[in-house]
Amino acid sequence: MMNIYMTGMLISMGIYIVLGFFISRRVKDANDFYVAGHNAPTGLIVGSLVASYCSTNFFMSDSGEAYSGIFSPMLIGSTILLVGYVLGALFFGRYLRRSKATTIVQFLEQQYDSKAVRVMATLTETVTLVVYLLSVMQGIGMLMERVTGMPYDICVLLSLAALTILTAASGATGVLISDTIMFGMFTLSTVACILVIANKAGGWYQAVDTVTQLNEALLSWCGDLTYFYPKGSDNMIWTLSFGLVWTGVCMVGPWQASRYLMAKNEHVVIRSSVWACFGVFVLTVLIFFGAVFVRAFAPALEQPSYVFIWAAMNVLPPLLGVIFLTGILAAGISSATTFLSLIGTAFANDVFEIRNDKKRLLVGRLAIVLTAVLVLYLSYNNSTSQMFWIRNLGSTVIASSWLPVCIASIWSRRVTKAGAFWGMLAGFLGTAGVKAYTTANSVLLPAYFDPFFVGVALNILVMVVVSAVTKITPQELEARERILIMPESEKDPVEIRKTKRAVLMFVGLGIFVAVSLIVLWVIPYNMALK
Amino acid sequence: MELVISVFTGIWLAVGGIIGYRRIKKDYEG
Repeated sequence: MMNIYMTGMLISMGIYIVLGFFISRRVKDANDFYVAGHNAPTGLIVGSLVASYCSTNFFMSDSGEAYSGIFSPMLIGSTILLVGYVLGALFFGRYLRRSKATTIVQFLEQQYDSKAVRVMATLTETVTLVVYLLSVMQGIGMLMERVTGMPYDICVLLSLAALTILTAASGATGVLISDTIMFGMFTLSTVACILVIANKAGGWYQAVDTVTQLNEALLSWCGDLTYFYPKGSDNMIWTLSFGLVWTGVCMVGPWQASRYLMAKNEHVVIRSSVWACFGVFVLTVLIFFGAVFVRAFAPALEQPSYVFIWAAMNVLPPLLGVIFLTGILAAGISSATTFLSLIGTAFANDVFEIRNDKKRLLVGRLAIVLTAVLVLYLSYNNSTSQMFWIRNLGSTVIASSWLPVCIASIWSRRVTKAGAFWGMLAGFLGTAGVKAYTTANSVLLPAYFDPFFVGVALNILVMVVVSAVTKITPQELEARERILIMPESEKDPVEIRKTKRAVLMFVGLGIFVAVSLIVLWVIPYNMALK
Repeated sequence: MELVISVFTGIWLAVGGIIGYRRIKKDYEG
């Protein structure tokens, strides 16, 4: 039966499809389709960075974890990662843009002069993107099922169809524009709705007090010790690993760093990374506090992943609830379109290396459709209860297998193509291996054996050892020297001043973050404890 | 401990920003 929430969702999906068709008219060639003509301004890159970061995972499974007992690890881990945006832009992203490559994989092939590295990077990237896309689609399916009452299978089918059409029709340009629109939508709706939730709980400080009286561990630094690790220090080590994984993702992850390939110039790369941090921080604080505040209305939700769906339908006024839920749907769709677009790009440019523009476009679009079919199948045959851990596996794999190799591709004179290849493989297998072992045996390893630490350590070890026994080629050295030469077009003094100011703002963000956490968390929490 | 964590997080970001600023100063000013 049609309800106001279902109507809102179906209308928004219709809008996205229409948007896709309008934008597809602007796509003139493969360059437009895959990298938006390397000409996107700061606003679009910021929108896409934040929208690709925030998916249904953020609003559902991550929030569910904060609600359930690891608020502090989620909040702090998600704040630590902000440094990844700026350092990533400065030490990796702007060189990506400088290279004018179509994909990060192409860039790595160029820097290592190696098809083998290309193959390994494409393999790890595709596995990660499919896994991550699966978790996002599951989230979208669960969201729509709960809200509309339609069966999960139909919800996944409808939403996957809508975003496949949007992506296949309009490519990267469409994804950038729709990401930015959706970013605006879910950010504004989140700000409004979380403030309303806090207000209905009696105000921010009262909400903190109410939740603390229910369970004083919920907002504590160590989290609820009956929920995850039984020691606070272990929860903090996990926080660090979570934060570092995502720092790595923000630095070199395909769905983040690839946005920089589309930027107008390197200054846009750097500035957009800074502004994205502000957006992500505001959303992080609001979402994780908001999730815990819902405890004031529903102390024991059976399925914590539905925390905001429940709040939208039971706490918020109906119209605001519709807007919020449509915003969450937008967050999921914006991430999913990015992943689909990247997979299409990978097939057309990295797997098949097609030169002909028309064929490249066709192969890319075909790959998008086939991937959608695969993900549909997986969504139907995979448990939805593991959404958080599936997403975490994807992000950890990419961080541990790509991060050392990507940074070395620019800054190292010693890492060879063989070192990069075997390092990437070791990182991938290390992470996947630990994760497979813990899942198959239902064990919780000590926090310092987190798959990320194991994977990245193996990657670096293997990369260094193999590089020591192989020789770097003149082509590799030349590529690394060439990429460091700054183009004349980037030396405009006006642009340089603006960029320096933006990076200084990031230093200011550090101060803003500390003050915000003290005012919004430390003070009210300690008052509630008294 | 919450205070320590909050301050640490702020310092972490600020240090990242300083590293970034020094990098672009070096790149653009030599």
